[in-house]
Amino acid sequence: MNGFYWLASYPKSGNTWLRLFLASLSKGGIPIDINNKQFDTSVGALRLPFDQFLDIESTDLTVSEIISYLPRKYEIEAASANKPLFRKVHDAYLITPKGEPLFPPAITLGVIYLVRDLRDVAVSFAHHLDKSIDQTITMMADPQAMMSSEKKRQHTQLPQFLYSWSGHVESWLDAPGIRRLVLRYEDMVAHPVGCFGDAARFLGMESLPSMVDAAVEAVRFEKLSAAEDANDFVERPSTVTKFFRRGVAGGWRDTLTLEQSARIESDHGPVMRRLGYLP
Amino acid sequence: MDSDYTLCGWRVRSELALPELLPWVGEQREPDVVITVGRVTPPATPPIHTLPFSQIWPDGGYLFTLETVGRYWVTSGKMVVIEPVGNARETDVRVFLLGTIFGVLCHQRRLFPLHASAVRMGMGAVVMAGDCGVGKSTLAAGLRQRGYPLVADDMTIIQVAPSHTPMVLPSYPYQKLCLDVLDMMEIPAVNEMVNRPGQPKYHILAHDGFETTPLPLLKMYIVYRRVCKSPYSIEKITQGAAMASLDRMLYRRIAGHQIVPKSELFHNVSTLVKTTPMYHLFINERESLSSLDRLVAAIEEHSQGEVCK
Repeated sequence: MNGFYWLASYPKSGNTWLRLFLASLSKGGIPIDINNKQFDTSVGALRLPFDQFLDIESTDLTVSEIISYLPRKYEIEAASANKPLFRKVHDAYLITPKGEPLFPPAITLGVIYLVRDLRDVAVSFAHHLDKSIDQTITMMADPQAMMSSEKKRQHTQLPQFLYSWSGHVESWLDAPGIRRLVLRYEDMVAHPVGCFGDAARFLGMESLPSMVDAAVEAVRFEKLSAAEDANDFVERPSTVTKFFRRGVAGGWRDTLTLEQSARIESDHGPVMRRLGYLP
Repeated sequence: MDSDYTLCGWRVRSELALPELLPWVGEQREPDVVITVGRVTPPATPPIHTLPFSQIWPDGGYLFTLETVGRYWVTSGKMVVIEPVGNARETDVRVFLLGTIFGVLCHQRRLFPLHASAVRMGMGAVVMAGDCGVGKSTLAAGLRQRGYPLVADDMTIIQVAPSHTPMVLPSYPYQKLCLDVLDMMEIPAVNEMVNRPGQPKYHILAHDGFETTPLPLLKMYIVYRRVCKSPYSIEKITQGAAMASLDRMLYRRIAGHQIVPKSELFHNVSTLVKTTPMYHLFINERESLSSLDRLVAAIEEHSQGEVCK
């Protein structure tokens, strides 16, 4: 059966790390070129495939029209494939204006949903957006937050609704009828072989333990950072000086003020507790 | 009341006002294309190809449907019937008429529409083709500011014939530019000229100085963005790569492949590749709009000679 494995996450939650691991594992655990992965885990919201599959100019469509027709694009894309497809998505699991899930259940083989302590996300996301941490905390609480929806230029990705961070998490964790694996970034850092091995098995990428070990080693943070220093990283936004910046869990303690962490915990306490980030 | 306009050298008679187009001033002949507003009635026979927005029939008849704007029925490269939804904005109706429907008309008339912009340089046209967002319109706008008349924006129509050099036909005389480009070029954005509600793209009329005559195709640049060390590079393309690129850049590609016989499309592509100097223009993904002048100067210099950077 063909369809999609959605590699879903709120931004800065470990999605790229997982995708680079899968790229290495697909080649038996060899070191990879971070700018030429040769294992397609491209963004589901890329504009060009939408235009090509639907034979339309998405730049002539409103946001509402794009969201309404994205499920059709995914269906056509799945029907044209001869093997499962893997797509990175930052969209919340939303219901389109036509009243259907953005990600059609009939062509969803499974979801790996990545989560990360929002206090660490705030620090990383602020760097990524080139905004202050306070501005980023405000955005993460905004139920109308979107990506790739700049007011002054057209992006190479289609607009994506994030919801608030809490809304994003709940939309994916509570989506009915979906085969799902939830991975916490902190567990990936502490137990990479176990976590990435679980991911591989979930995706049907059965591999020898030695290959999983090798792939985990190939995507150690220090190696990715060094690779970016040598040859840049194609997914790094122009506003950001370094994509692979710290790669740690709990680094927020060095960076957030007490007020900032309190604000995050106040805005998102219930979901943080649900995920085990608050007692 | 119907009015006559010029587009691609056609006399277009339209029941719908088309302020973006220039009035027809040519010979008094029967219109080449007729646009009416009324009920759309596609054939009862099933289409040969169906997509969410479009359906195509064996004779090339094309139905475009966008539930929020209307339905368009295009036949024979000549007749367009538009059935707008009740509350559709007229500007929205025109966006798809002068975009997708115009592209389909070209396929039905066996012309070759490309995702490309074009300007006049010397005695011919220089074309910049590429995917959405790569900067085709921005480059054309930059070249216009240097005095090169606009021939086409977003969709460039090429007439490929066995007996002469491929000709670039004058398209619609306006550009679609985003607010960041308009700000940089100090061109005011008029709210009424927004492409679609909520978008950063605006229509900028280019009636003054618009090139209205067909021009021989001089050179084509296929534009890509990539992460690289230099700001840009211009490289000659192999014939094989050029053929693949041209097919990829075909406007309304799926419709074109359904309407035009494959042998004819292949012939058009291979003729263009054999007769037209073609280059890849790689622009560094990291380059900002502030380097536009340098890029435009490079295209200007390269188009007028064979200097590669």
